[in-house]
Amino acid sequence: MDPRLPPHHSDVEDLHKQLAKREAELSQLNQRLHHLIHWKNRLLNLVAQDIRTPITAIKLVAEVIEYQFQDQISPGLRRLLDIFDRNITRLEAHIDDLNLIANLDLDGISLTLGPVDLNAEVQRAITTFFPHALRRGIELDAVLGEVPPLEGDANHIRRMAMDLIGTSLARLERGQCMVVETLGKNDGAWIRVSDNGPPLSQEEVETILRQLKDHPEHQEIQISLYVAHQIAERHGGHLDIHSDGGVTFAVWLPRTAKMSKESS
Amino acid sequence: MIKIVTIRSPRIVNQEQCDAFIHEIESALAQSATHIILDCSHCLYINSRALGAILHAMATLTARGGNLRVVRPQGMVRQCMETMGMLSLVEIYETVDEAMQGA
Repeated sequence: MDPRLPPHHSDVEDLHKQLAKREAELSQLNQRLHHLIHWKNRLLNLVAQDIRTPITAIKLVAEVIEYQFQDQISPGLRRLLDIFDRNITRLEAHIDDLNLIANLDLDGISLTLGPVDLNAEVQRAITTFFPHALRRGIELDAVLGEVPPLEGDANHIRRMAMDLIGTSLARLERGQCMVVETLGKNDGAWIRVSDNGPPLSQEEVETILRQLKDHPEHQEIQISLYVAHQIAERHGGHLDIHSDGGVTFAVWLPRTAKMSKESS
Repeated sequence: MIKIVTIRSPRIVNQEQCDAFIHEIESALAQSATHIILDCSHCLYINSRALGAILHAMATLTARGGNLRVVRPQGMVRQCMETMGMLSLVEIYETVDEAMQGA
């Protein structure tokens, strides 16, 4: 057929039919994709639950043993218990990551927006780590300031605070300390977790911040930080890192969540 | 012989107040206290180091045949004690007077 001639009516009809067929196929594939995502999420939740149960039991037994024999624990045994504790905490963090991944939709982390009492969520995050800090002889302090009511996903914000606290705790040795602060401004609030652990060079800070924006390396510190970064960004906030004697991980959250698409 | 010591927790036990608070607990134990009444009714926060000292006091008092009595733990203090599993191991009272009567 001569391409200079206008298409026949029947050709246009064919094209429309093909287009409709492709649209129907695409719609079916999309439905299938959502269906697979739903089952993936359910499976991840089940797996996380099944792993968490024995870990909780192991932790409980270890705590009872440590409490009962605390006066008989030698420095060497104490170091082994610290290693045990650190690894259990790492496993728990990975389970939390699994649960978070289970909640990912096609746009990244899904948020359920509502009023957030930031200090209450940070308090819950801090008390979760109390036993861990105590067992490892790390001083965990809190300075919770006046913060305005925020709009956001309370569960994810608590999760983000836990990721920051866990990241800091993982860096510290017995006798060191960390402070968790909240600081309110008119248009939002800061969560800051500062420690007196080993400092990071400016280059290391820049590398971590760069890797947070790209795909994370599979190292424990950066997985937790990556999750915290994603949650902050989804709320329209951001994560900063400073190092001056120790390290401060800080997250800014706007008063009203300005939901953004997850950066890939 | 029963010896009861009452300690009133400061409003906030953080890095600045922690040493003084722990010193008070250790003094009570050094004076052979069998029971310590810890008044937390005005306390908003206790840090992990102070909580560790409280746990140690709990174990020492139990070994002496006594106990730790906590008055009105609330908010974050209660949450911390709950997370540590302490609430089932100590006696909780609403007022210092009630805690004294329990001795």
